[in-house]
Amino acid sequence: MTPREAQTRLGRVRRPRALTTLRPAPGHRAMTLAAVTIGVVLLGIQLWLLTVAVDLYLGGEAEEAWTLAVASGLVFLGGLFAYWLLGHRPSNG
Amino acid sequence: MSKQRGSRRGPRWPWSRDERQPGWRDEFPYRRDQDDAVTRRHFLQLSVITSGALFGGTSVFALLGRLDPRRRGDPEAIIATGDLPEGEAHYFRYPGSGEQAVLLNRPGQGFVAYSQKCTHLACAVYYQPEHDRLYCPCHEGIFDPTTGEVTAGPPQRPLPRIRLEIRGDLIYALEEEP
Repeated sequence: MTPREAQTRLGRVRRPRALTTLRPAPGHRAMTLAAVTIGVVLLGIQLWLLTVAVDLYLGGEAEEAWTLAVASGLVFLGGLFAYWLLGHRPSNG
Repeated sequence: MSKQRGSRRGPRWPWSRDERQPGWRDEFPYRRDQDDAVTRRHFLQLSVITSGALFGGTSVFALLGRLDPRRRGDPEAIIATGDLPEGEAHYFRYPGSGEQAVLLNRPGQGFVAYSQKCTHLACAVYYQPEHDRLYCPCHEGIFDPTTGEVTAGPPQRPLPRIRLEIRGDLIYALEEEP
């Protein structure tokens, strides 16, 4: 085995094919980052809704907390839709 | 090809491929050259599960609020109206024998009763007539004796109020409101 062959072989081991041959499309990384950011913000909002619901319950005013549950449920449904959408779309890496 | 891989990684037979997998493969079932394509989906799956858990938690508290299981207690006679002068307090046990409450005769406002359990860390509050306040000595929480609202200190919620009714000359506790 020549040094070049060895280097190529080593390079192939260190760099999997998926990483070397599949390049993300322009703007793909920004879109992914935006999606992750939106997801984190939405999860933060859901966490906040939960704390408000707990506070209302402990304060004995939880009769109106169903609106919080509806808002949280909409976020959850949005996440489910995104997951379903991703499952029906071929990944381009 | 398969013979080469077999000789490099050891014989396949009689072990199946799954048996040769290390234990952590169950938790992280991605090959090195596949993680770029799969992890994002797995991350979204975990996010959706987290979102569902948060939605479930919010729904549980909303449902508990609708059912309102925190109103509790049976009607119980506390004291005769004539035995509690204006501006004084009477301590009693309600709704259970292990829970304390305080009944106040407010000048010009009538009788009010609250749970003695501080809404901060559940210490017992008591009435201070010289300051006209309900006082928690643990962390100096102070409550308004007329409304039960917090006026100072770390508590965030008012004292649970006990609904009263006067039958004849007896004061009855009907239920504890959250």
